[in-house]
Amino acid sequence: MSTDATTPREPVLSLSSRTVVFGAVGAALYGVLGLFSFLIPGTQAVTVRPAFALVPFFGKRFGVVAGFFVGLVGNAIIDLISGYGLTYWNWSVANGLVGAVAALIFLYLPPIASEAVRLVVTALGALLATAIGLLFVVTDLWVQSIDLKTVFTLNYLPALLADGIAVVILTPALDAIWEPLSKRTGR
Amino acid sequence: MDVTPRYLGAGSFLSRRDPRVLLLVPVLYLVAVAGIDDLRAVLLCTAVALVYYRAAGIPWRGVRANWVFMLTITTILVVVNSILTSAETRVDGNAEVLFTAPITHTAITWTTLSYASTILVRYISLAMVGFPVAFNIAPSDLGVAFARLGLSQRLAYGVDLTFRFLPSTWASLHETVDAQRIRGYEHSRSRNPVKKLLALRPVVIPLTVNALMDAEDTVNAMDLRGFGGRHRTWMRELAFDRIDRLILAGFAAMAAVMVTAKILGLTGTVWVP
Amino acid sequence: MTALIEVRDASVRYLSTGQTALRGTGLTVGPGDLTLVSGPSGCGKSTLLRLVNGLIPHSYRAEVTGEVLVGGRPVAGQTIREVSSVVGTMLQDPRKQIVGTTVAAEIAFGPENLGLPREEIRLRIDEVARRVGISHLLDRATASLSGGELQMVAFAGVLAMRPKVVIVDEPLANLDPAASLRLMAEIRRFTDEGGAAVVVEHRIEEILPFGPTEVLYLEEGAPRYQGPVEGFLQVAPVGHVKLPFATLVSRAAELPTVPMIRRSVPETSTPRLSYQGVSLGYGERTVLSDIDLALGSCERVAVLGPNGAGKSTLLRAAVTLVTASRGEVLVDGSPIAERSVLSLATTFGYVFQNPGQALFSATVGQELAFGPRNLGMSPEEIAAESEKALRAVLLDGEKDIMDRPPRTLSFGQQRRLTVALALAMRPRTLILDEPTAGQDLHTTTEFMGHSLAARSVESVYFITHDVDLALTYADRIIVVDQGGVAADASPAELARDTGIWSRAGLAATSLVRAVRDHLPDAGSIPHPFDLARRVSLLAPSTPSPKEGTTPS
Ligand SMILES: Nc1ncnc2c1ncn2[C@@H]1O[C@H](COP(=O)(O)OP(=O)(O)OP(=O)(O)O)[C@@H](O)[C@H]1O
Ligand SMILES: Nc1ncnc2c1ncn2[C@@H]1O[C@H](COP(=O)(O)OP(=O)(O)OP(=O)(O)O)[C@@H](O)[C@H]1O
Ligand SMILES: [Mg+2]
Ligand SMILES: [Mg+2]
Repeated sequence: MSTDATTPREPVLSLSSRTVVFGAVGAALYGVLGLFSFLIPGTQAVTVRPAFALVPFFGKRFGVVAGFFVGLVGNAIIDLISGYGLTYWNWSVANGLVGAVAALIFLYLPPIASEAVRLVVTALGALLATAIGLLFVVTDLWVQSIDLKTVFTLNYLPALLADGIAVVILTPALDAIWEPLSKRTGR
Repeated sequence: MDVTPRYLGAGSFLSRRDPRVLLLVPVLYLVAVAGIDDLRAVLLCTAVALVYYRAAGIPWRGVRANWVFMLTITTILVVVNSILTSAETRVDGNAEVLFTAPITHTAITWTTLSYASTILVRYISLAMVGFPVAFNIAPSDLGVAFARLGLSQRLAYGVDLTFRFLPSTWASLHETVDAQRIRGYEHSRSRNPVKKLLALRPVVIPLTVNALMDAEDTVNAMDLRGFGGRHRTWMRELAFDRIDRLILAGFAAMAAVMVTAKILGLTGTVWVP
Repeated sequence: MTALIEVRDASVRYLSTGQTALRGTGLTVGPGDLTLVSGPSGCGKSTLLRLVNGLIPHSYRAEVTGEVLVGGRPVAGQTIREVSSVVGTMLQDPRKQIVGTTVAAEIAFGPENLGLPREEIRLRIDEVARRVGISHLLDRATASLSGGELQMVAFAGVLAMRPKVVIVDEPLANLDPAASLRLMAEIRRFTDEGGAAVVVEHRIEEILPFGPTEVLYLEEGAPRYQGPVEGFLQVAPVGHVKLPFATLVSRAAELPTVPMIRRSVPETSTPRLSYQGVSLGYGERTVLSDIDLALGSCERVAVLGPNGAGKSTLLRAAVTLVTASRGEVLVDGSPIAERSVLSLATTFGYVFQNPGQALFSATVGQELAFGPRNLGMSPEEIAAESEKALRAVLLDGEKDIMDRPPRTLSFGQQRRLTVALALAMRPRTLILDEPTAGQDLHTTTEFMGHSLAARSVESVYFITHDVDLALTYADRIIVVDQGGVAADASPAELARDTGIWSRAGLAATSLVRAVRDHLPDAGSIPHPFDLARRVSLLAPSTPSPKEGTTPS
């Protein structure tokens, strides 16, 4: 459990109390902040949920399990609180996958010294994770029996656009602030 | 605003069930209705879903807004889906064209309408079996329920812990917004989404960073109280009673029948009156 | 009988920083012992506790030398779970360590993890809850509890695991004096019944009445004093530990001279902040009702009162974070509703209790610029103001301070930075919410000194649980209790009002008693050191330091 704070601390799929607590903290943050969203002007359906940026951030910093947990449980809680029930469960899974994929992407990236490059890489990595993770919503094909074209034009692409903006802007900002602190917690 | 999920169906038939039943039924139901194109079959399942929903005793006033929202979204989805694509897959050339849709000039036939209704009804019925998960399970029962469904003990506790963190996160959010407001922070009124997102940093960042720093202490506190052993007692005792088993068996049977029917190709074609 | 905890010549070096946090420290705790550990911030108190409960070396990466035995066996050879069956730990802030959504669930958490049968757990919950007097809370959500209640619940959660020793890290930091007494009484009872306790605390005076068997005073990671209380009072560094007044008198010769804090300009006629028949609350719930109060533009006002009485609520109304449901709040004579948030921000600099709450920028410089920029100041003005503000809180000496990430500063520095953030907006009145909770005396003195002396600031209103702090630094003390103002008087008058000390979650400290006995009944009072010197001249027959340790 005790390794250097700057290198990945634990095996990829480990499940320590840290993972559990950070997952829960992230899910609660996502659940609360995710209640706020706004429409991109000029579109009718593209709502940006700024808190989505937390999902790849938690994946990157706290690993596959925590990232998946934050996306899955966080999104499910937003749905529960706003009262959609669990009807959109596959979207929760898609959110979870974004966190997990982000964790995997950054796990295999070498450490980057330059701060500016790191910011850009964080943004791109998080965007890529979002693009991959959200692909899971093609399950709407089966769950809702709508066809591929609709899934893409009405579900996947708007979500990617909205979440992509949030991720590109907020994830690097969060990550940059956490960088010096992660070394300081000294575990 | 209250950030804990609302527990609306207190005292109803479904609330008295083992929470695992409420979690499993939607899964079984989804298996049953997925991929069925025949409106009659879907209506049959929907009748079952409706009875189930009624048993949840969720007051209409509490969920009216949710239903309106769902119906709107789904209707848009269904309409777009039919208009965009029905021309390609669902129409046999000599069906009677009822009218053509504006703009896309898609020919609308009985088949199109029937198929659209199938999607809509299926979706509504899925919501009916899904709502009790949201409103009939006490949040404190979720962790145990998952644990007893075979999820890792630790992750299951993570679910409980998430509900523990919800109200305190909400309170911290308020405090952070207050602290920034007296430094002159205001919500961005810009229409530019990028500006809007940038303007959220003074709230999102300290809230997240604080939560993470506090979490270090929580991790320690949990370790110190023996968290993470192989065996863990859950104070909430869960046991299926006879009714629980009957309900699960019923839905399992329905899923089995529908899947069989699907395999036999009985429900794969769009029903035209 | 074997010792429960045995630490011999232990040193700890954290590998993440390479810093040695503890050197050559020993500690022996047996049944019935109550050990007090104290020392300035960063001296290694928490590190010592981590050593004893197994977090070091099991969770923290650290190099340990020396011997640490718990229950007669080396800690390194036991898991944290095994250690926790002997040592129960209560960390500093209960808010961070409570994991249950309800009180019953919280108490059950430990026994659940031990895999005990349900029946047994239920018995333990009832027993422990009865013991610490929280049976009526069992069904309540933990999120709805007050600070004092939370602390008791956290303690119950530890007791439910039936440890032989409890170790407690700064339990009193956020508690009002009455709640502190209750908690300490429970800890004492635990040791009287055969358990043992190690308590880390800055508020020594509040521990002394409970008769600690041993005091360990650490400085820079090494023990500076270890032994009985009497000896400790003789040698404790006066400027760094808050000692009972009688001890100050007996050691009057050693007391340093205290600089006079500049008195502000004379009072103007319009009060800065006035409440006229004001009721304040949240949603349906009214916290304070019918408040009539006027706070002057050049006053130093302290607000005291029990946990949850509405102290923060009262002052939050000054910056419209709460709005009056009845009555009217006036700022400089005009209704607050007519003032914009920004104009209020330049009138009141409000410093919240938790410094981290507002820090979000990548550097201190950017953080300082945020407020002034919202006010529309020019970059040159901002730079000048930032400079001035940092100087006022003595952070300007720190190397590269402007480029440091704010959250990497030490906790005390972060606190001072938040004051600088407020000062950079050029407020005329500073409002501080529990500015010194959990800090040692030296830090407290520095912090209050700087805040009160900041140029441009005409008046300071501060909320605190520290009665002595209020007596020392305020011209006027307001006690909030039971939905209203329970007292409003000068420090000397308040000290005389014997009734108030038994109510309102307060407890008379030795300083209060000294003020009552030795000072005329009006006006502000001198610094405790000056008072002690004066008293020692009046009564050459030095009272024994032990006197201060008996509760009144
Ligand atoms: N996890 C850690 N990694 C590296 N250094 C640490 C760690 N925790 C504490 N330290 C350092 O060790 C020293 C002692 O810290 P410790 O927390 O024990 O002090 P403390 O006496 O409890 O202070 P306080 O009264 O502020 O709580 C400090 O200089 C601190 O910066
Ligand atoms: N945002 C809020 N919403 C609802 N209730 C609140 C809110 N903030 C405080 N309260 C309640 O109002 C009461 C007064 O709270 P306040 O924070 O003013 O107390 P306090 O005197 O500052 O206590 P403490 O010494 O613990 O800081 C408490 O019972 C608290 O639970
Ligand atoms: Mg400490
Ligand atoms: Mg307060």
